[in-house]
Formats: sequence, C-alpha cells, structure tokens
Amino acid sequence: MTSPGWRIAKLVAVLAIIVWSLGPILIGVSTSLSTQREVNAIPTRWVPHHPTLQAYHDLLGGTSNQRAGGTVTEAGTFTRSIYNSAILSAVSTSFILIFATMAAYAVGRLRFRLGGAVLALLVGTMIVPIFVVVVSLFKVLAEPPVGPSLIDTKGGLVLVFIATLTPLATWLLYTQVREMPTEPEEAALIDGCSRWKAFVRIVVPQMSSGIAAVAAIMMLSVWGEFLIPLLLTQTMNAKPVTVQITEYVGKYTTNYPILAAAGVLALIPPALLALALNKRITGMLAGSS
Amino acid sequence: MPKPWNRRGGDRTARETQILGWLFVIPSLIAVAALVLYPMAHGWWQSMNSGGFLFGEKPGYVGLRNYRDVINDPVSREAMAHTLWYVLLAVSLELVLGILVAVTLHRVFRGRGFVLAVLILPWALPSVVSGVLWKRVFDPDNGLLNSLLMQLHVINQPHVWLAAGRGPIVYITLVHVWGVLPLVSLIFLAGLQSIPDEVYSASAVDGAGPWRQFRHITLPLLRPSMAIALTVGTLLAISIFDEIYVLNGTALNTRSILIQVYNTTFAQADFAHGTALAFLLAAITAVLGALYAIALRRSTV
Amino acid sequence: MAIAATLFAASCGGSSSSSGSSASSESIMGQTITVLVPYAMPQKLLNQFTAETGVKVNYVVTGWDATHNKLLVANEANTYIADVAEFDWSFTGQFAGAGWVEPLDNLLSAKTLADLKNTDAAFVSGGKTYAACYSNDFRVSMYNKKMFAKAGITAFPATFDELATDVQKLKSSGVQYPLAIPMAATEGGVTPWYLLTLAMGGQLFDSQNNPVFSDPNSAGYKALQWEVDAVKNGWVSPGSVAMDDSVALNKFTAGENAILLATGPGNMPTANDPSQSSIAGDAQIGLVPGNTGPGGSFGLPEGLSIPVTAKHKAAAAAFIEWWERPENAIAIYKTQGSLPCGASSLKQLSDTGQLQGGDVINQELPHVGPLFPGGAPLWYAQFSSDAQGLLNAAAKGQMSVSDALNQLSTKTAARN
Repeated sequence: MTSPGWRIAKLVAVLAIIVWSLGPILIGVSTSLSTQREVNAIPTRWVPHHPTLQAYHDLLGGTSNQRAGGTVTEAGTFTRSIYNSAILSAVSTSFILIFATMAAYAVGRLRFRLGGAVLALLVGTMIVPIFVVVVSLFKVLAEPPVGPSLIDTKGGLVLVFIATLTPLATWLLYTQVREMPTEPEEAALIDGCSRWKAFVRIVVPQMSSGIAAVAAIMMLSVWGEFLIPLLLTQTMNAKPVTVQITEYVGKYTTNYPILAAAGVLALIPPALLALALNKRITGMLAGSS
Repeated sequence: MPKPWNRRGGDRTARETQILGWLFVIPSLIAVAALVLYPMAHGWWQSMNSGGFLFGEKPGYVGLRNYRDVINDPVSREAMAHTLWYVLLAVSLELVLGILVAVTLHRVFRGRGFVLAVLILPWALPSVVSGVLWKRVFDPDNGLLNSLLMQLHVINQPHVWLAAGRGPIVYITLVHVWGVLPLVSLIFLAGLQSIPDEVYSASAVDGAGPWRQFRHITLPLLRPSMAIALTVGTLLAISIFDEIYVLNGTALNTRSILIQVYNTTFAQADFAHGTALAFLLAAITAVLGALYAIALRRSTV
Repeated sequence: MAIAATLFAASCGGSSSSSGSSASSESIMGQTITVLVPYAMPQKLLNQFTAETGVKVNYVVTGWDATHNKLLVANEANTYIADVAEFDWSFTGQFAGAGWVEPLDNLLSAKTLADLKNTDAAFVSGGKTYAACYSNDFRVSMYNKKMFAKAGITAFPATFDELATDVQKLKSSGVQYPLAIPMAATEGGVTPWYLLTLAMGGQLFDSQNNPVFSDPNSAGYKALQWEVDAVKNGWVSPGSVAMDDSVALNKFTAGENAILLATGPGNMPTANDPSQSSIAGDAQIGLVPGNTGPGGSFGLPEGLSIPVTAKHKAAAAAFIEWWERPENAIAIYKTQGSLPCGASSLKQLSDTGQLQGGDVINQELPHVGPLFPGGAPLWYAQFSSDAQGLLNAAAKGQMSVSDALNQLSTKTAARN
C-alpha cells in the first residue's frame, strides 16, 4: 500500500479524521473565548474579533450576574464539580473493577453452576432504560433500610454507579478471561496454591491490560453520567460537572461563552485519561474479538 | 474453553469451586439487586398499573393495558419508526467509517499517536456538552453551517436544518455517529491488529493487490469485530436521547423512543405509560440482541 | 440578634411571634429547612431570616427543568426532598391534583394571603391555594426603540392592524425579520400562542375547561393562524420553528429583530446590560397589542409551596411569610430579579420609582389574568406537552392549523 495514490488517499483520510474530530471542539474553544455579544452577532463570527478570557474568569472566579434567568456562577462551584466528578470516577471505578474482576473470573473460569444465569442476569440489566428505575431508586436512596438518606451524597452516587456499570465491566472482563490461557493458573494450583492465592497472584496480573482498559472505559462512563446525578444531587456536595454544566443554561438566557468554557474544561480530564490508556483499550478489544 | 479441573480431592475441590464462585459474584449481585433489580421490579409494577386519579382513572392493576395503549398510540409508533431509522443509519455509517478509519490508522506512521489522541476526543466529551457545540453548527439563524454554505454561495438563504423533511434524522444521526465513531474505530483497529502479517505477505507472494487483500482477507477476518461493533452500535443508537434532546427538544419530527419515554414520564408525569414504553424498548433490544447472537454463532469460523 | 433575643424572651412567656403565622417561634427554632428554588438568593438575606427565627436554611439552586424533574421524582416516590419547593403555575393541576402539596390557606396569615390574592389565582385548585407567588412573571412585549425610530414609528402598536403596518415599515427600513417569536416544541414555544389568544380577546378554555380553540372563529384558532402566517410572510425568521424563548431573547438583544412579542418584564435588565446585549439602552417594554387597543395578557407566576412530605411545615410557612414581606421581596427583586407579587410590595416598588419599565408594567397588570379562569385542570402538563408537538408541526407546515387544533382539542376533551 505504498504507491503514491494510496499515500495521498491516506493523507486525505487522516486530515479528514482530524477535522471531523476536532471541528466542533474547536468551535467550543472559539466560543469560550468570545463574549455573549459576539456569539449572537450576525453574521456569525467563527473567530471572535475581540477574544477574551472573561468566560474562564467568570467560570472559575464567579460572577455577580444574578438577575432572574441570568447565568449564575459562583466562585469555586465549577472547580468543585470537577473535583466531585473525579472522586466519583475514581472511587466507583475501583469498586467496579474489584467486583467485576471477581465476577468475571467466577463465571468465566470457575464455571460454577448457575454461573451462566448470573451473567445473563447482569447483562440483562443493561438493556432496560434508566427511566424505568428512577422513581424507586430515589426512594431507596432517600429511605434506605439502614442509615441516613443517601440523596445528595457521593456515597449514594457511587453505589448507584456500581450497580449500573458493574454488569458492563463484568461482561467485558468475562470475554477476556475466557480467551486467556489457563496454564499459569493450573501450574500454580498444582504447586499447592489455594484458589484465592492463584486468583490474586496469577490471574489478576494476567488480566492486567484488560483491567486497565475496562478501568478507562468505566472512568469515562462515570464521568459522562448525567441523568442519575441530575435527579439524585442537589448541592455541591456531590454534583458532578455534567450536571453543573447544564446549570449554565438559564431559564431566559444562555450564556454561551461560559457554557463553552465549562465544556472545554470538562473535556480535559477525560481526554487525558483516554490518551493515556488508549493503547490498553486497543489491546483489550483485540483480546475479546 | 478451559475445563473445570478437579484433579485433587474430587468432590471437595468441586465444592470449593462452587462456594468460591458464589462468593465472588455476591458483591456484584447485591449491588445490582438492591439498586437496579428492585427498582426495575417497581418500575415493572408501575407499568402494569393505572396512573390513577391524575389521569381520570381509578387506580389499580390493569395488566398489559398500558402496553396496548402505547403500541396503538400514533406518536409512539412514529417514535419507533424514527428509532429504526436512527439505528439503520447510525450502524451503517459506523461500520463503513469505522473500518476506513481503522485501516487508515493501522500501520504506524509519524504522528499516528497524535491522530489517535484526536480521534478519541469526541467520545471523551460528555454528550450534553457535544450537543451544545453542535447546536451552534446547526443553528438556523447564525449557525456555522449556514454561514459557511452561504459564504461559499452554495445556498443563498439560511436553511432550517432540523425543522422538516428527511434531513433532521440524518443530521442528528451524524452528531450521534460523531460521538460513537471513536469507539467503533477502536474495535476495528483491535480486530485488524490481531490479523497476523503472515497472512498478508503470503497473499502478496501470490500476487494479490491491496484491494483484493482487503476484500478476501481483511473483511472476512474482521467478522468478529463487526459483530461487536454491530451490537454496541445498535445498543447505543436504539437508546439515542441526549443528542436529540439538546438539538431539537421534544419536537415530533425527530422523536426517538427514549425521547417519547422522557416526554411521557417527565413532561406528562405519566409514569405508568412511560415505564411501559421503556420496557417495550428493552424487549425490542433483547430480541435484536438474540438475533445477533444467533447470526454470530452461525457465521463465526 | 436583638430580634432573636426578643422572640426568645417572648416565647418564654408563651406568646407567639408578631408575624401572625400559625407557628410559634419556640417550636421552630433550631430547625433546618431545605428550600428548592431555581434562582439564587444572597446568603446575607438568608442569614437575616435565621437571625430572626432561629431557623437555618439549606437553599438549593438548580436549573428550572432539573428542579421540576427532581420534584416530580421525589413526589412520585412519596419521599422527602424539601420543605419549601418551587411551584410553577404549570404545576397546579398535576401537583395539586395528585395531592403532593399542602394547601396554604391555613398555614399562612390572612394578611399575606390577601396581599397575594391576584397572583395566587393561578395556584388555586378546588378552591384551595397551593402556593404563594414569589415571581410575578407575565407576558409583555419588548421592542428596540432605535429600530422603531429609524422606521419612523413613534409608538408601540396598540392593535394588530397597527402591528401589521409597523412590520412593513420595519422591513422597508432594513429589518429583514421584524418579529422574534419562539415556536420550538417547548413550553416557551407555546406561550406565545396562549398570549395571542388572550390578546385577541378570547380564551382557550371555557369555564368547564372544555377546549374552544378548534372553531375557526375562535381566538385560539386565529392566533395559531396568525403565527403560521407570520412564518409564511417572513415577519419572523424561518428558524423560529426551532427557536425556544432563550434563543429568541438572544436574537433580540443581538439586534436581529425589532420586537420580542412575548417576554417577561424580568428580561429588561438583561436587554439593557452592555456586557450581554448589543442593543443596551434601546430596549423598551410595550403593551401586548389587541384587537382594538392593548390586549389581554396572562401571568406565569412562580410560587413557593410546601410539599406534603416536608419535615418542618411550620418553619417552611415562616420562611414564606418572611419572603413575602415587602422589604424582603424588594431586596430579592434587586438581586434575583423576580418581580414581587404582593400588592403592597408592588406599590412600594413603583412608588419609589425602582421598577424598570414600571409605568408600562403598571399599565399591563390590569390586563393580566390566569390562563384557566376555571382553575388549572389536572391535565395541564399533558395538554402543554401535546400542544408543543402539534403547534410546532403546524408552524413548520407539516400539518394544517385545523388539523393541529382538532387533534389537540380531541385529546384534551378526552381527558377533561
């Protein structure tokens, strides 16, 4: 595939990929550097004539524009929401990985009775839309059988994310466990290791690239969660950035520069994560095909 | 497939395996049971009951009546038709573009890391945010698409992209594919990278050019990846919601099943019919999934 | 602090506080209430409330839609979410009908209830009042006086005929689309229809809440036809069918349109703010045109309600009483922008000349009435949702006006 024709075609393809992927994001960056006046200007200005960092300043430092329907930004709320998203992602993913790895191993390797049914049950929960569960979920979290209300707490959200995302993680890891060679574990067992030790010392390290990939997918999924935190949070205790962003859409006006600035900043952590781990994701997907 | 081995101790080991197996799945099961299965059961119960006084009815069990109502409702049916279009268009585009992107990025070249990084960005962006960005592109009065086309003299009046005709569903599908393509491309990339080079070099020795190699080697060996991409793509497209909501709200001409569920449940506070429609969607998805699984079993080498 | 001391001393003697609410200060002191309202409140004011009553306030601000969705889910789950909750006029039928909020007739003082009587009409169902109005939003028009001057128009049109003439004058003076009217399939896209119906001298429903807009002679029919014609004749931009009210405001403040037909008086400060608007200083309020003179308008008030699941109802009532006192309502207006509802608050505001566009607002108020003279029906939310889809389709030319209104009428009649 090295003839000039192919090379040009490839170059065009690569450029197309870059433009297609970056286009709207660059629009977001450009909007974030404009003022509301410039955004509404006719004819449209692709690039602001008077670029300014005012939107970022307002977003991070707070504005006093509190007119009814106007955009309210208080100092620290946006950064707090990013912090919340980060904590939610990290904690949820840790638990999900532990649960899912164990479950995937149990169903894929130990193959105990009813294992198939358990997997089917878990995967089955993925096809039912979230709207079905919101009312009852709210009630269960607000009035749990033991303990205080979990509404508007990070703990409550973490529990919900674990419940909704473990099935996907289990399924992905299960496909990997099935393809992995069994020799290392068998050898350890013959040598006298208990199942548990074999799991921890041999199997888990064997699955490490898969676990890393699933970790990335889980973190991005939690980062992008919207409807559940919308309904289950109220204050900055637990509000993640996805919900916080929608609050810059006011009842009467929408401050596009602030909204775009928030979007750009919210993009950075998951983008960094995706970049760091995209090799692993590719590797893992190779294992499951 | 590894066999369960119990060379030592026979029964005792088998029992240990069973116990360990259960212990390992219990944390997941508890979490899912408490926060997903239980609320789902409650939702199922809601779908089998009447909405009560608020809808001028006596409260109580009504069996499958809500499901019948929803199936017969013309607006819901239109939403189902739209959703079918979304799935067909999105999955076709994703399969074709996904393979093209994967082929382009398969061999290492200078700057490939950068391109891979850029490729992932649309997927990393929360869909609420990307919806807002695309809104600026499609805005009828001062959107970027209209402004670009007018400057290039392709059109001389701003076009209302999302209002009428067959266009809106296609444009929304484009926005959806924009966000999903990175994932699908990665799936195909993984598939490509698992094809050993020897297969290609052997066929080159036999005189096969790139196009023939593609058709007779690459495509068939990508079948498993296609299966995964098809499944993931369908699942994501059938539950399309965020893009439509941000770009066109609950306008009738672009409603998907989940938008209709949102409208019924939240705008009209009709949880009974809303949950019924949602379960109907789950049933449709399950059927599709089963069909894929059967087709996959038949075609996998 | 002195006030708190006085109240404490008074409660030791067993008498209740002077505000006349049915809660005695000793029973509510030390409680914490959660207030769920979609607009910000300066902490200073909340501290004043705490100093006065000993009740701490957990004030939660989220977006308007998010607030509605949260309340819906919590109420459906019959679970506590707040002691004082947002209550939009569009909630009345549903929330009151489902028994999710407490009637306030016995929880607030007679004086407060009387002061709010006019605006609270939209919160009445079955003879009981379910919320105390805190944001006196109603529909007026806004126009760009500079564009008007350029087109040679000296006064905002008082009748639809004058409006038609003015539109032509504006077009000749270079304004391509003189009117900004949102027609997207959203709540903001149907309120212009409500407004035009009332402005044309009619109603959407009769006193039994039967729909009366499918008759071609009815005001409702004429109003929708007027909107559809406005799109066809280029009075509004073709993009209006995808425009919701916040975008319509943006376009008006960008100087694209000369008249924002259906908007709230609370948007005046935004329209005249140089950092947000390209037409700062040129925006004026105009009375909604009618058939022979300024037409009717309707109120979209927002109120404070007490959910039945609230934990501290007496403290919640005290908070509402505090908010509605003129000095507090005015302080809140200045920071939050919510126009106060109490007759005494409004009088104080306009007497001291602090109302932006005050004289016009005062002129419009007598024309403002509730959308449902017979009291808000249970099914308003479903009606609104159906209307949004159907009216939008009519505006796009996907169905005829008579089809849209007939379908809407049939669906609504089936529910009534």
